[in-house]
Amino acid sequence: MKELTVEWIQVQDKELVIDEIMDRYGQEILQLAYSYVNSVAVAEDLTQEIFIKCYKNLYRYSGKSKFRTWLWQIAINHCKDFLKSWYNKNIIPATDYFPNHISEKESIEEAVIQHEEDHELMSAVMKLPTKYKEVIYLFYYEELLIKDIALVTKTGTNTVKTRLRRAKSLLKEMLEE
Amino acid sequence: MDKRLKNLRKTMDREVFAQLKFTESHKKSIREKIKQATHSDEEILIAIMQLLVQEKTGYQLVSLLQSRGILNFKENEGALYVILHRLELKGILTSSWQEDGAKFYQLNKKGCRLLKKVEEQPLSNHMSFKEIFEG
Repeated sequence: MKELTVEWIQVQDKELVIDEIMDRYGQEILQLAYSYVNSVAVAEDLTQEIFIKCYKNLYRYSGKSKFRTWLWQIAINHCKDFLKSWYNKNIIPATDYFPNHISEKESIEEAVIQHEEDHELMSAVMKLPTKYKEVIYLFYYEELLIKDIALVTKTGTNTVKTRLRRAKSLLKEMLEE
Repeated sequence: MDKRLKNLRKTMDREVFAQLKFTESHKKSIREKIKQATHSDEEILIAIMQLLVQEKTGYQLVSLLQSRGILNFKENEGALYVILHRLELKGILTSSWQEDGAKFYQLNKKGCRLLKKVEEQPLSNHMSFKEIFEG
């Protein structure tokens, strides 16, 4: 899939541009938002706000970074602002219940155990503090390179590496308890 | 730990993201919100011209546009000055510096006539407007 270019974005009708952007990135932005807030309803709201922000700021996109990187920076900023907001801290019980469900169709014992372990790990990841959770998500789920994680989170590569290491040791502690 | 984390993607897809889908209805409501939050170039231009029948500073203009629900220039006043400059070049408004250093803008005769003309037209056929914007 070719990246959107700044020329294309500037020349096309804005409505068409935002449609194309939503088609390409809607799903991943929704998931990204979820990874921060751990709630479907909140993730949907944030996704909506992120695309409106993107639309309003399209003229600022200069082509210096890849479009996707630019969009992700907006998205990550927006999610973190939400987490810091008064609204989040005071109004919303922000997390979905994580059921400890194991599919009933599962018949092979080993697979069940494997699923259970995976599930535990995922729950632990979702409980990490934001700065650790985001690097784990971006590295292991989105499979971004360290340098790209540094770009979208606006930190440095060393910071990302340190956080990844720390995140893993935190996870280890959580899972051993 | 690394090995276990390699499964994270599969686990999240299966257990969480299977129920999390960015759908056509999400897109639709975003489109609607955008429509509410933004105004067409023509609406903005008409509003600016209407407000400049009496002389005003750019700063006053931003806040008056805001009270009309046009938030495009909030935190982005530069864009407004671009439009004002263009209108000036088209010869439909004049600007003057006051003694206190503020710059005032006002529609001139030609501008008032143009405003009257576009207000009488149905919105779809503002040819003269296109010229200004693309000018």
